[in-house]
Amino acid sequence: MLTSFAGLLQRMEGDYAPRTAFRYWEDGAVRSVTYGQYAGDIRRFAAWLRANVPAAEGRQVGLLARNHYHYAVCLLGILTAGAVAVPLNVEENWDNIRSQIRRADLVCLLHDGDYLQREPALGEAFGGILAPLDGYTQAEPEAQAPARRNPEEMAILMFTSGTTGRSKGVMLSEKNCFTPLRFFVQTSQVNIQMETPRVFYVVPMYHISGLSGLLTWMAAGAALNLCISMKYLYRDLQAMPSDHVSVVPMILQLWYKDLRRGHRERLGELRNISCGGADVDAGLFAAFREAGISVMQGYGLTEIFGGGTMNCSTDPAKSASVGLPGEGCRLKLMDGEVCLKSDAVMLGYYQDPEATAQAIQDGWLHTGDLGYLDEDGYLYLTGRKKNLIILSNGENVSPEELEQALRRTPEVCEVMVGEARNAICAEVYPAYPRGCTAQKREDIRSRIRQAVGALNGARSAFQQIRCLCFREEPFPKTATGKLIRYQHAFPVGEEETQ
Amino acid sequence: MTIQQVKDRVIRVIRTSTETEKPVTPETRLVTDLELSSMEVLVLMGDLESAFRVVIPVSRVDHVETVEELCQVIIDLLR
Repeated sequence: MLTSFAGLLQRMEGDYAPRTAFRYWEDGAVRSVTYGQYAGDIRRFAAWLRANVPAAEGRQVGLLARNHYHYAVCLLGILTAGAVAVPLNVEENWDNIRSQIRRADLVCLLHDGDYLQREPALGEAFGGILAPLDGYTQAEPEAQAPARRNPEEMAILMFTSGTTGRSKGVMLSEKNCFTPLRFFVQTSQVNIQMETPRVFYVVPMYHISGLSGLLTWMAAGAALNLCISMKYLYRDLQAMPSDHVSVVPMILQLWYKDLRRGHRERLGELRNISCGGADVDAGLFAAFREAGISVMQGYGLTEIFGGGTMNCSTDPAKSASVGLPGEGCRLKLMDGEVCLKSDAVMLGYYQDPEATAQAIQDGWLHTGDLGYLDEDGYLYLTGRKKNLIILSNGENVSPEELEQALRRTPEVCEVMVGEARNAICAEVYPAYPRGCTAQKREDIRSRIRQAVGALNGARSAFQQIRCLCFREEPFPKTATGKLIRYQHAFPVGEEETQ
Repeated sequence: MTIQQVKDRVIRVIRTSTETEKPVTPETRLVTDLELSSMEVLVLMGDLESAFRVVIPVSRVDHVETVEELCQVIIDLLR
């Protein structure tokens, strides 16, 4: 089994060379690339990097772009060149992106122009390190052997929303990346009963499930049918027939609607779906089974390279479970909290030893998720110890970050942000002066609505507050004055914001 | 194509794409009234791209709330 990026490149140039690596839609037709061609492009990137960013080895190179073949080239190119890949979330707001770019100390930031177009400040702040994602296409492939990196040093730096206002940088080594691959590949092969299925690829490459999926299927030599945007989901499912796909729950819900409306044909030739990244409603699975599509639910974290558990059981009684831990991964519950131990557990949080010490104790990763095990050892998730919103598209949102932002508005006395109806919801106790008139109260609420609108204006659609409601009394608090979040029910339906 | 023809076609595409049974007017809010998830909004964008032969950057619709605003994005792209 593969254990290094250099080894993966060798495999692509050897046994896998004639196989299809990627397909994607371009200029009105499906373009196909073999592993041999892909390896050649990775070598072009290595040459481009050496010529344009000579000090890149051992340093951080960022990616700020949407899914594309070029992204896959640059990602593997960075890793085989011995640099550290830093995939950034294109849906992230500017303040967070700017902070992450600075903290990551990037020597180069590869981009596709999309973020720059909507946020020109990116060019003003970081113009000196920006480079086009497809810049490598003009270079000649580099012949020298790929860099041999220390498998225990940082290879990937991935930011994840934490429970406090600031995102945390997860440091992953080459060893972390290759440890769970055999488990990922084997479980999918067993469920699909194909060694090299045609894989439909739609999750973002900057998300851990996308990144781990990419490596998994390349290690198996499967063909990846790239869907570069959800806009083209149905076009690409027809144009690039596929057997397997990994999705987040929001896509599963979309396809469930399709099945209920009698549109099985929209899912093309799909036979197997793996789903994770957020809570999944197992009640949907029966509709897929009736349509001849098996669904596997998984659970993982960025902190363990997307690994954790996978439910490969065909027993409907176990459909609500996230399954069993992978080979080489141990699981235990401590006070109901899921803890995992394997060689895939991250090196730690970037420049944050305190958070690292809290998360990893004696090699055990404390996930912040709560659950229980049945008599067969299958894990069922019951809640979160950590205060984090995980939307059904897999995006993590920190309530504290939004609360801090809203508290800057003088009219906001207290605020709680949470999740309701799969959307971000804010409930505000306004700072009404004593004895103020009804009109004055309405004016205050109006200014709060404007503040929420302004906050949303700086965020992508996925990260906006969709529901705003007001309360007449202060929130209940703990003895130390903290708002009580546990089981708080947001009164949705009473007021909604645009 | 006149502005009104663009608006009429946008509304037809929304009805076909989302299969909504709710009324669709220029004031209709995509997320709040039609209860579209962010993924469904993107799929709708794909259908509008096909209908109008334009490319709609995802960032152009991040702050689109109503059908009227969506029509304006299409009109701007057609010019």
